[in-house]
Amino acid sequence: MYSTPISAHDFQWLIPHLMIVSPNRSIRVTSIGLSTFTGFHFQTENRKLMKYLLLSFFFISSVSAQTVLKISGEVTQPLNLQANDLKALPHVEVKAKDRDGKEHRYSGVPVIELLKKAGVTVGAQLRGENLVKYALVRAADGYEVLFALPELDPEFSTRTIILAESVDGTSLPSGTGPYRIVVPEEKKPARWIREVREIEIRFVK
Amino acid sequence: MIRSLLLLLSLVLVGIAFAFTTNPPYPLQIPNSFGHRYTIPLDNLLTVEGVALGRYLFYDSLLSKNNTISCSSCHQQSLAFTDGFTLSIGVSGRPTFRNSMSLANLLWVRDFFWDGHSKTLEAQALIPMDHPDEMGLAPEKSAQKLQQTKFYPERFQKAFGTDQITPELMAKALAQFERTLISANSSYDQYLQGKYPLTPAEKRGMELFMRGTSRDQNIRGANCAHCHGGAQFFQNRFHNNGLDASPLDPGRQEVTGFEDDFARFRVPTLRNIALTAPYMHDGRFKTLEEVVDHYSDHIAQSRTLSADLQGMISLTSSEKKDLIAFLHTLTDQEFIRNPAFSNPFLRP
Ligand code: HEC
Ligand code: HEC
Repeated sequence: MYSTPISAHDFQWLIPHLMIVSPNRSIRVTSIGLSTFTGFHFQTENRKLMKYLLLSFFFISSVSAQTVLKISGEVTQPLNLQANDLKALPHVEVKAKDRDGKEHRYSGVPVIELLKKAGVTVGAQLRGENLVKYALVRAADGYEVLFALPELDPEFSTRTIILAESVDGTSLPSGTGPYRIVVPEEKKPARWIREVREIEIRFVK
Repeated sequence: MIRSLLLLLSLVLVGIAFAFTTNPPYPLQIPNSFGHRYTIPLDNLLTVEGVALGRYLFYDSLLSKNNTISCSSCHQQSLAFTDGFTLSIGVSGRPTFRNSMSLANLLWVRDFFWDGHSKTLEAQALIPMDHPDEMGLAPEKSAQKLQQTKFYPERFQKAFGTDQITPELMAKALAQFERTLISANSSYDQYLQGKYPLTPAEKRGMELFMRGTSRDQNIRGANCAHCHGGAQFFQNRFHNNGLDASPLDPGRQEVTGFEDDFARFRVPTLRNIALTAPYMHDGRFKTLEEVVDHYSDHIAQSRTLSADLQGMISLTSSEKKDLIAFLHTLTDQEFIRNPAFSNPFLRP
């Protein structure tokens, strides 16, 4: 059973005019000077207008830097990586068969490089109780898969699991990319999780 | 002598006080197949008195601005805690923005509402109270109203050890009650336990529901379980299931800010689905026939349409009937009749 206490954060919506707007959203709203609206759900008219403005704001904000991959949990250095940070990391190419049964070339960052950057206990430190740590990889849609740390560490495993960003030389299509885990030699690609957004390192409790 | 008498007396007093304040933990029955991946906040463990209080609050229209609307107005037990309306009507008479949601098996939900903007039931509970189109009364005001009754202070005392009513305690009690709303005894569950034989149509429907299409192996499947699968018939995932070519509601994107989340909504439970019409976040479909027609024949292409629906096959009319027959096996008569979930003002 997972248990977490209620945090002050959970009650933020109590601030009257933010009502149904999440903290994340309210920042966006105020930053385009719409804080004078009281109540996001106040009137359908206002809502439509707000939605329109929000959408145009998202359009603008998507041009600016956005965190594309978050690495958190049992790490010494939590990371919020942007597309450029990922580009700067070492890349490799692996060959693997997708659901179509055909072999493709996938290029991307070995997951181990991401773990090292975040200060996860890999390599010489992957012993003792650290052997019961795992990486929970989460996609945009909420899909989750798990890898035990030794599966990701080249000192244990012969295959290189990567965070792919391109297939056969072209970027991954939307709905699959921008980032997808590729696990070479795995018979069923259920852990080839698409639209990866988060890696959380956890201890078995 | 006097000293030992005093000691005895104080022991008896403590004993009496204890007898009055004990509030045993609520015995929650977790179905084995559902598993234990759920969150109960450590500072709001379920107790018998807490759940009982939450149940009163859930059914009490005192929590609304004009004493006409309670949570149960839009979440009726006989409809698996939905209201049968396309959009719900609260105190203002204006419709809510989205369709009411079933409250079954919330213990396993991680992000509440259609767009997942609320993380805990405690945080969720006060939102409809405050909302001008739902109950329209600030939780602080309802707390004051409850404080002035004869009924409630004593019940808060029993549940939380204080008769000072606050919005936070109201939310905690409501959340406790909501966590007990477990639905796991449908005909389908009985089938799994070997107690109910599926009809041939239900069985064919189940196979369509559970598997995807495989052209090489000549298998036809509707792949519903890919999103709505698992023991609870939902997953904590967000998808665009192809309702519109140009969706109007940004859905999940409003919460995360990611363009790729545009028009994605939470995959809702299909348990008791035959009872929870109309369907989808905007209640656009009146019947399960319309829902199945949608998946079979009218998936609208758009930028964020789920990749899992791209290869959806067109179902024959008998396949559609089979699928719907299976969906009907997910109705849990015990859940909608369970006296523990009913209006305590009518049947304590
Ligand atoms: C006026 C109708 C109305 C009233 C009154 C109302 N609700 Fe709701 N409820 C809704 C609607 C509509 C939604 C979906 C809203 C959305 O996602 O935007 C909802 C969603 C929910 C959810 C989320 C379920 C899920 O699976 O995420 C919970 C929990 C809930 N309501 C509990 C309550 C409680 C507790 C009360 C009383 C304090 C209450 N509701 C009062 C209409 C109502
Ligand atoms: C790609 C994931 C996905 C697949 C596959 C899928 N659904 Fe859904 N389903 C959803 C989402 C997301 C919603 C909510 C959409 C909304 O309201 O905008 C939904 C909503 C529904 C609803 C309405 C629920 C309610 O409470 O209003 C029904 C019924 C339903 N789906 C049945 C099915 C059936 C039957 C199949 C198989 C033919 C299926 N779904 C396949 C994702 C999926």
